[in-house]
Amino acid sequence: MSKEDFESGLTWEVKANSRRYHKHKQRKSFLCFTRGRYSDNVVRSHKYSLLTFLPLTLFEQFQRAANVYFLLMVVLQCVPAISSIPWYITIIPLLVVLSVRGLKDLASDMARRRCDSEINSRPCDVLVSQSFMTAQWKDVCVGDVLRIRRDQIIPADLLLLSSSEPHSLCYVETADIDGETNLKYRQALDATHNELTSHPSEEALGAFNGIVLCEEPNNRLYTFRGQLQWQGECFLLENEHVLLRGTVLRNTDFAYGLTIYTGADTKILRNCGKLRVKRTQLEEVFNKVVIGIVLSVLLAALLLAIGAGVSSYQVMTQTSFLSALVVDGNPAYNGFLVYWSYIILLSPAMPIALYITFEVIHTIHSKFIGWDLEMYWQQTDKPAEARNTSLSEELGQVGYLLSDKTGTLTQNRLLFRQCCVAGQIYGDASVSAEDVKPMDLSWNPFSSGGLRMFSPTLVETLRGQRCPVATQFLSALALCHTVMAEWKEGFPVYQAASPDEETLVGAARELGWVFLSRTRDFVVVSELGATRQYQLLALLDFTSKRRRMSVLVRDPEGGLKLYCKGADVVILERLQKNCPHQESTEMALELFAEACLRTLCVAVRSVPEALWERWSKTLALSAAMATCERDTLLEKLYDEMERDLLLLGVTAIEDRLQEGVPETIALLQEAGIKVWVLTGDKKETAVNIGYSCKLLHPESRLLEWQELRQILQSADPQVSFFKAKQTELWATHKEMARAKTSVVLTGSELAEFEERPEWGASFMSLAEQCQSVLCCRVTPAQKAEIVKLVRKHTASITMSIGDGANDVNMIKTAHIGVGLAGREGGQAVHNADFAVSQFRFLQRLLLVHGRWSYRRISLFLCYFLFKTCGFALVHIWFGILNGFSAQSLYETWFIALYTVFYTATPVMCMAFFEQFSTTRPMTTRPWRSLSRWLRPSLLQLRL
Amino acid sequence: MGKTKDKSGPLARRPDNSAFKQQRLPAWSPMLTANTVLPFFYLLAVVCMLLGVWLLLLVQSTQEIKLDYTDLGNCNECFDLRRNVSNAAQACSCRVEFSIDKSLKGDVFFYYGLKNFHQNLRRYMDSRDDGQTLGRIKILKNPSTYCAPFDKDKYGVPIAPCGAVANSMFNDSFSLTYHLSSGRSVPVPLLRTGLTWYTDKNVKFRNPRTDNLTLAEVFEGTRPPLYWQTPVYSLDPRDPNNNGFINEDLIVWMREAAFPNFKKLYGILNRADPNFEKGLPKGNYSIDISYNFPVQHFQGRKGVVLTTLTWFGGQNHFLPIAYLVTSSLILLAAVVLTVAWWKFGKDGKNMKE
Repeated sequence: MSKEDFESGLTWEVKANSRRYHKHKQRKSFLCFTRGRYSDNVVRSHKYSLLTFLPLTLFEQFQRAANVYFLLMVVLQCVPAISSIPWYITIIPLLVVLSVRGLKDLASDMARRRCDSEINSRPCDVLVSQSFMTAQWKDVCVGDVLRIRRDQIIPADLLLLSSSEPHSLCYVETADIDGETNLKYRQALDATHNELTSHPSEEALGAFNGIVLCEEPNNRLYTFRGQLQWQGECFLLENEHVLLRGTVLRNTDFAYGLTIYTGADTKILRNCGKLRVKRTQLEEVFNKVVIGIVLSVLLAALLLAIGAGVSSYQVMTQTSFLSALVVDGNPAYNGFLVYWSYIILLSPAMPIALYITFEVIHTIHSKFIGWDLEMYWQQTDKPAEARNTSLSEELGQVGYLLSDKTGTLTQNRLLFRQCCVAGQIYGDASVSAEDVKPMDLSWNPFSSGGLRMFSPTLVETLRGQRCPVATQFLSALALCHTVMAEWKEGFPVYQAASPDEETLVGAARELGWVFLSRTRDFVVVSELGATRQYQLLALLDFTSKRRRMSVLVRDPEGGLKLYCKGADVVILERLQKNCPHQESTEMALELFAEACLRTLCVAVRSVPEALWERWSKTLALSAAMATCERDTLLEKLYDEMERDLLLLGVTAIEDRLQEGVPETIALLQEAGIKVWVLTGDKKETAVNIGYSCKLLHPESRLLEWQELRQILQSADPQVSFFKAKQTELWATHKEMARAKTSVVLTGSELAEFEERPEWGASFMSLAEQCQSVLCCRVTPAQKAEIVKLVRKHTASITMSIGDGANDVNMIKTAHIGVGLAGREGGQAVHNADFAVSQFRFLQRLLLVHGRWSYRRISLFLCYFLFKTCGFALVHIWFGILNGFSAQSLYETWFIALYTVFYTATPVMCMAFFEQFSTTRPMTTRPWRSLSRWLRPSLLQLRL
Repeated sequence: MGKTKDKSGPLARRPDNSAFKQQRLPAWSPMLTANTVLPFFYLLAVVCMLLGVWLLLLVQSTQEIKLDYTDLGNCNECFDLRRNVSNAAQACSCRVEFSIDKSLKGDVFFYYGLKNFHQNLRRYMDSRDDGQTLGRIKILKNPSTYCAPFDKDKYGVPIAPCGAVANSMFNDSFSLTYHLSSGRSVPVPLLRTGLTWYTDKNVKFRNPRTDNLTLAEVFEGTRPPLYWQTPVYSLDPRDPNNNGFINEDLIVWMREAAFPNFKKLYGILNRADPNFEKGLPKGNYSIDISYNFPVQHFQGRKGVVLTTLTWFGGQNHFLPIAYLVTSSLILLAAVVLTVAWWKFGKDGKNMKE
């Protein structure tokens, strides 16, 4: 490897078709020593082997303080001088707990093992000396050339060499990786495509001797950098040349790939990071209680030991025949021994079985959530799901609900309702979507209905080709996207990553601009029946930071055009000077926002040939750079291209509220839960949605940034806040005024916030008194920042709910993350603790399951501590009667079986079945004061 | 779980609509209002009161005569004699007299009682070898170290039965005499067997196997506990079957009492005697005591108890009094609640909140 390879970070070397070379360097491990570089393609998700199970499980379990404590007790009991109860008495509960836990771990490990071996023995075709042999996944080795058939799962990370489709395109479904069900295309390099498909493929592939240099294995799913050295040339490799393990090949008969990463090095396995263990607040309370119990046991034992010393002193001096029983004739030493004896005797006060019972109860509670018919969504056949089983009681304590808007409050079933082309508004959003008269689109063979816009004028304009802006507008809609077309029964079926794009492309199809197909280099569009093929030069993709996407195409006439669509702020600042229709378009934007419509601006730029040449050269250079540098360069490059735009128009998409959202929000607010909405939408849209979902009361006063800043800057924010409210609402009830103020913030204002951390606390105390907080124009990172702000400045439990990849940050940051299993992929759900299908299910999740669970577990803890402490306290009392000699009052077996057998079921049954009241009044009259009585009652127990 | 997998079709993952899974199992949540709670309190008070009164009557119907003879009458001399351990070998007997005003009807039980004797000290309780008293021949001459320092004497001769419990066995003996008004004295016959449970005598305590040897020969090579006057095989000179480890006095003593003040069964009135067919008639009685057990060393007292029993046991006032106290507390609470309800909560305002 040369020096520059190291510098660019491309240090992973793969030689095609040289199995021996790689086999030799395969990673082998023995205990903790590993040698070699390439891991094999065997998945080992199991933790234990026959030999290591016992030590490992014991090691894990003895990390729990309670278990160590009991082990210590067993050891102490082996000393005859102090063993107040026989040694086997303590070891029985300990063994029961250890073996229950161990068996549970073992069972899940066996399941993983079975699953692993099922995966490892899946068949795949490996090229061995010029012919494909069926082998198992575990035999695949770095450098092997594989053949993947249609609908097969890809066994390792592959470099796509060629496929059965033209241009060596192939389609993959990445549902297992990111949960998105739309197809994505991957394409082989031209070089490999040309060379390897021309011959009979086996022979050509067998002779393929390229060397791939690429990054070390990493977990970045969407980037790949490397180069292929072959036939004296060097080709740059990117993400689109790579087929990842776990994806499924679709719509392609065959694909040939060179194995780059196997097994533990693959991106998907690198990605399944460790699960973050969330601990509930109750658990922390409980840990403190356990420490308290230990301390009080030690104290009690000390007092009793002093008593024993004194009484044995008396025995020594007065009772001749018993004095022989005082060890060594030394009362102090006797007291010392009795101290240890009492620690043993009082050890049942330590709730050893509590952790395991706690887990069982949590599991059952989570199951109840999954079993609930009222949270089952029939349309997609999805029940609710508790992905993290240990948080159920936190649900009952939620104080702040931070919600995404799109897809969470709304249905995310988008309808193209209006558009504004060249300053002219088409369509009418005041008519509800169901009542829209269908337009006569029979002239369009590709029309399949479903357009909820009535605007014959637009159709006429388009068909008559009277307005070039309108034509360009629709071309932009049909070209600027990443949608894939699949042909079914003569109709194109669109598969898109984002529902916005699908809607826009669908609308363009209805209006005559039909997107037909896409290859790597070309996009084919039928414009009013005339099929035109555009050459795709560059695709400047969408990111949440850029908030726009563009395509650079060469039209059949040879002109270079950049079509760009994106959020209005971003596009408007990139327009050329004196752009026509700008003012009227901005007015239209406002109108659309008031009607709660989602808007996207569409713009075009004619790119001079010279600029393109210069630009593409720089772009090519960037491919070889290290990731972070490249990203900044790309950003600059893209920025350079997306300027001097000519505004074409605005699309307006309706996203209707989900069923039951206003009721749910009202109910949650009544329950004392603060509902905040964080959205990437425009302020006007967000405020309108806020009104329609009853987040904002029609009479409530919106506190905006200017005013808020004044309040925050003032010496005493509280006072100024009240003044600000009173100026308008002094006359009305004070109580009313409290509830009817809402804060509206935007992303840029929040950024200012981050510079002034001292405002955080005062802002939170203000927010506490407001009805709600609405943050618009926020980025995913800012969403997480807001959650952090809330977590930092309040003691309440925060809950985030969202449905898309942009909510993942926020979901992970909050105490409880809820993923809405909606239309936008599965990323949110994958990262969430709970998954539901509808926003209104939160009602039941929080107010029924959460509260039940909270109450049950609180009662359970009290009950459990009561029963263990009560059992042990008897011995303190009995000590007074028996001269503090650590004599047990109970029969020894009774002690052993008390916790694990005699008293196990009642406490568990209560924790499973206790119902505070029927579900009905609870959802309507929430009650959240449990923590107020829980803590004192725990204290009482200790006393 | 397996059931859900069998299903297929559009609603395959629909949860079962069962009472358990939907948490619709029958449940009852009492709405606590004054109208339900207050009557309940009164009812509970009445029930406890009735139970208490009934038990009190029951307990009162038993008759009990307690006699602390520690330094009563001429036992005073013996009491002083026993103060000095060196006089342990000297026999001392004394007599106490008492009268019964009301005849004790039915079975009469004769107990001896000790006060402030801690049989519940752990090291005392552990100081015994159950293997030895179970009659295991090997352990007989090799008692467990739990018995230390009462396992072997200073010459290394094993002690049988070993341990502090056996060593401190109560060794006073009593004989009860009835003085008829005619001046004639009749000894009151006491059954000295049948004081233990079947499992005690046949399972927990057994003599070593004799195999044609006499009991004395079996115990050869062992010595009685230090404080004992007689070896274990001749504890009961009258009944040869009541000797060794199965001696009933020994068994009774070896079941340690949980509390420092206790009484243990000594004998049962033999009602086969025509004089005592109906129990103990009223009149004057005396007890001749062979006074051996010293109590000064632990500031204790000793006495005898004569009592009749009911199904409820002897004269134990704890439970009836506990019931009565509970009853009055509940009644008090009920009255307070009633007053509070009458004054503040009658209009039901507190229910709304």
